[in-house]
Amino acid sequence: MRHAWQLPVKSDVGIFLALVVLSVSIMAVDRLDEDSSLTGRLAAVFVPFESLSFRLMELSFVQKENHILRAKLMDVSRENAVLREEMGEAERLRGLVDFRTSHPGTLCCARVIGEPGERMGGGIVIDKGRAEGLAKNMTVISPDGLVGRIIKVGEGASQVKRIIDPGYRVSALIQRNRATGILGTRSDGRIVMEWVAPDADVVAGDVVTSSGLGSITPKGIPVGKVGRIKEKPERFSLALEVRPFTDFSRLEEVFVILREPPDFQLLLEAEEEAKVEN
Amino acid sequence: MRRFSLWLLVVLALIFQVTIFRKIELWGMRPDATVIILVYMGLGLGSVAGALFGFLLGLANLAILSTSMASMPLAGTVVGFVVGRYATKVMYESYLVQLVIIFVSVLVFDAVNLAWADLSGLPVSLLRYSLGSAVYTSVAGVTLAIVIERIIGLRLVSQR
Repeated sequence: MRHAWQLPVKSDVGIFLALVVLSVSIMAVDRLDEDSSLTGRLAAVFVPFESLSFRLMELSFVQKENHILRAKLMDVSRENAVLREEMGEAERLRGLVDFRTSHPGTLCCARVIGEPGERMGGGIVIDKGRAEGLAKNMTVISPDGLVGRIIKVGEGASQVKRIIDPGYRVSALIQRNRATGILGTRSDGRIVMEWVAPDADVVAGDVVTSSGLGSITPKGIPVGKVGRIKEKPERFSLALEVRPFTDFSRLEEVFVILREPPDFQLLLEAEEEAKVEN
Repeated sequence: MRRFSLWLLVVLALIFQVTIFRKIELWGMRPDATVIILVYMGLGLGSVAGALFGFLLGLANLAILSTSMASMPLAGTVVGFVVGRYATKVMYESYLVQLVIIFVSVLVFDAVNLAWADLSGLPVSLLRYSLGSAVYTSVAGVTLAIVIERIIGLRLVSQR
């Protein structure tokens, strides 16, 4: 049985010859036409097919390129995160170096290495201890302000009670008008300055610093800013809520002021001796 | 059904030409999908279809590839017609015969084009460029036929 395409022999030779003549004509025109305008005209007809085949060719390359670019993007994102982290650290360390330079010989830089939790006494643990000359009750600060004081000293680490830890107390004053008071931390973490004279001229935003009374915390260390102000008629004083300057949620490095707080017992004995001598 | 398998071969050959064949280039040679299509069209549909396909594919080549020569339609017509007319008289169901048919077709196809470009250098050019390409194309063509017939399960050519 003959297929629809399969024509009688004579016809197929005829078709073949016709196609050959057509092909030779194309070749002749192409040879005569130096500018190859024939090819150009044919190309215009096949542009859609050409673009389709070109797209097919491109598809696999684009896919491969896409994979490579995705991988590169992931690398760059990772690298970016690392660089951001390093940039932040560099900025912090630059601040610390500046701070350290302005207090030569009196500060010891330490890194925060833990937060022991309430059961273990709260506060933070730093990576410096007795070996570096640290002692109990030494004041711990950050470039922003007061952090707290050392409550336990080990050979290579120390525990620091922060001003946001409940029960922390330090005498303080309002920088603008020198009004004094006692700064204490409540169980909910709020820092409140009490025993401030009720007639003291205090406004929200006033800077609170350590007063130096009590001899444990040196005078003039910034603590925070006054927030809400409450009057406490029953105690004849104002209660000022203080917002600390130090951001405790991002505390990574601190300074310990290398100055032994005075031993009151020795001071009393010295006074006694002086009296006896007189 | 056979006509469908032939069209499938055309589609697959064109896809392979722009994907796999481009990647499995050996010593600068690639299988030529045009000749593979022409051979199977000639074997499957006869001399008229072979000649017509050869002419159209040559024309398409001429238009799509700027490097193609004006002799492409003639080369395609000759190969398509000769395969449809004479190769169908041999036992072409055998893959080995198909391999030989494709091999000879590549040589004929290239001979027409090379003669058009430079008749004097034809023998050297045939030996230098076409021989390897003919081997490569015939292996690729038969592989494609085996894929369609044995793996997909469609009859590509039949002498009955």
